[in-house]
Amino acid sequence: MKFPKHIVAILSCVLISACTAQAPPMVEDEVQDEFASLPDWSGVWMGTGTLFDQSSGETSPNTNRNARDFPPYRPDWEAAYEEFLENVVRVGRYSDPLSLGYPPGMLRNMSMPYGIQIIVRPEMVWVIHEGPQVRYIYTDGRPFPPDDELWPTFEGYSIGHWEGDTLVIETVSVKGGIPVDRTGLVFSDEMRVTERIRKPGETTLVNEITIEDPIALTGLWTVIRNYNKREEQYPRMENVSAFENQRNPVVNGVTTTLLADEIDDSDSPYPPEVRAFSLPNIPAP
Amino acid sequence: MPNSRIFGLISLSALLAVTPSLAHHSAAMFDRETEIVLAGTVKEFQYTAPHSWVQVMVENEAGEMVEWSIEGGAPNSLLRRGIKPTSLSPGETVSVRAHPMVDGQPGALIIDVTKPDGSVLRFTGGG
Repeated sequence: MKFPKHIVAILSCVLISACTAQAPPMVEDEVQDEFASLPDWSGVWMGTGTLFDQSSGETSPNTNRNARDFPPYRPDWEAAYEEFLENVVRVGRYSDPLSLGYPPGMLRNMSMPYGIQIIVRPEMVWVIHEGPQVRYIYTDGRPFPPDDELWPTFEGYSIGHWEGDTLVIETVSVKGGIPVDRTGLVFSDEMRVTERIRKPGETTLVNEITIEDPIALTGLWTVIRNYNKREEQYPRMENVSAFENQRNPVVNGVTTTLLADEIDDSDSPYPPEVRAFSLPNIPAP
Repeated sequence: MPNSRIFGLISLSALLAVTPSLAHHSAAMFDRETEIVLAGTVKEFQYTAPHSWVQVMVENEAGEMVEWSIEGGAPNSLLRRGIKPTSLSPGETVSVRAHPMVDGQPGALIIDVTKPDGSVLRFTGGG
């Protein structure tokens, strides 16, 4: 059957109009409305302090044996932490997994003096860390996956929801034993973290972090992390590649420095005139 | 500025801590309780991650030129302190404050660098 051309043209217009008038614009409007209800956390934010729990005011166990965190550890975890700290003081160096190429992991990705950006959408929030690492926080109402779809990872699995201008995040399934700061503070695979992030001032974010860990802790532990907004006109993020110039190999379990005359760059893919260094074989810590 | 020698050293504790090293690397690394001052000439500024390195040629007590490797932070933190890839140039005469390696090898952890014009590049601390 053949329709006159003008009928085809009219039908086409009607169909196109019908299609373009359907759901997408409404969904987009809804998204826009949801966006409008979310706080503005744009910018580059810098974590403050180098200890996870900043309340002690200390900065490094290398120079100050008193620089440590005070979680309500079970006795065996406390003893292991003390032994680790004694070792750091004895050798004068903490073989930081971060310096060896491992991602910062949860919670260190929220507790380092590095830049972070927090991208807020209605269904999801991303925390981008110079570590580099990205946290995915699902705010679309989903529950945690079933147990057989969870396994310990550096980032864990995070779901969140908004309580007014406060983002509440629950995180589980974080790989145990990842230091959350330079004192070597660690938790177990059973750690469950609740974060409450809000922006009390134009240049300040506050994260109230509560940790539950039936393996490592005798009770809940809450610490406060603060983040200051970079205020220069054009703040930038720079990823920290662990392997661009890695001269801290581990020897006998301790990070060491490769000196200039110890660097073998004979297998470097680059010509000698641009070859500043090579990448030594780095054993796992 | 004194001649190209290591002119700063050391606390008694550091002297006690420096032991002869036959091993390629000792277990210990930087002695953060000790500061040294190295006067020398920049060979190279490696503006890299996860650490930057200032390579400085320093004359030792025997009159030999020794290349020191002095570790600093990654570019993200250096740039926020105003330290750029061009902040140090090969051939520049500098004075470097640093924490030495405990085993006496020519490596150190950087504190700051004073340039010929008197300006200071603060690699650590509040600066």
